[in-house]
Amino acid sequence: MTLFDIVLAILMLASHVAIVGAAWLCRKRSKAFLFLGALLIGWQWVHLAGQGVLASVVELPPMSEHLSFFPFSPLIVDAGGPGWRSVPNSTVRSFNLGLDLLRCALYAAVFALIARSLGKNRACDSPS
Amino acid sequence: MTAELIVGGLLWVALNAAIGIACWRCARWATGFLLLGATVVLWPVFYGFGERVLMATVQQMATGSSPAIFPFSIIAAESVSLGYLVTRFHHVMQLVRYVLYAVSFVLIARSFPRRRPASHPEPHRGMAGRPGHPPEHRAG
Repeated sequence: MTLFDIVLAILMLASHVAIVGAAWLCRKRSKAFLFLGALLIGWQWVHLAGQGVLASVVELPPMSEHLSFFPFSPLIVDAGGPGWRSVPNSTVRSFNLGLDLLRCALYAAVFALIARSLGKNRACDSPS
Repeated sequence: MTAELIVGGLLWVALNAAIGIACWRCARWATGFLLLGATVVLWPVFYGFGERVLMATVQQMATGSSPAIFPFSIIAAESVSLGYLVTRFHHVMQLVRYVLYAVSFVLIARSFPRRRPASHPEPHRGMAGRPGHPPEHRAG
């Protein structure tokens, strides 16, 4: 572990703390800020898990039963050799696109919730 | 498969437009939403572009020709390995993204007033005026 790694880790931790703190401060305006903070921090782990699953099923040896259950089973197709199964490149591309679409949908939903909550708060605050 | 990618791409554009519109609406209350929306929408595009450039250069290096520009020149000089450079690229990109998230979120949090200033304290009304409690009558 080099000094660069340590500085990187400290800065990453500081940014995470800042996100959590800001989400906590904003929670009175809208609970959706907590979801936004969780999404900003948590999506990285969802993405990593998805990539890990994908990497583990890209090529499975014969007689392997790893991840041959739903929802991963549709990803796996029979490939060249007897018993060998793999994931074609197009499936990998579609999987990544689906993951990114899920991310965009979650962000759109959270931002829409925040806009709605802030609009309601402003309507309540205004004297008219 | 092409049709699937086209539909997926259109959906991706629509969802990103929805994020942009929602952030634009939220920016009326806090300008930090503009930075946050730009980071959420544009950063993956920028990151993907950088990753493609990096991978293209790595493939070019695999064929034997090493570029003389900065981060790749230190590989040619055998100061660091290619894996080290690729790993650091991903780590630094992640760090920049999270710093942008943090800065924009802190800007948003600072936009909302948390306390009333001491010169204009909120008048204490007790329970008067709330449902089930009649308004107070001042003497005199």
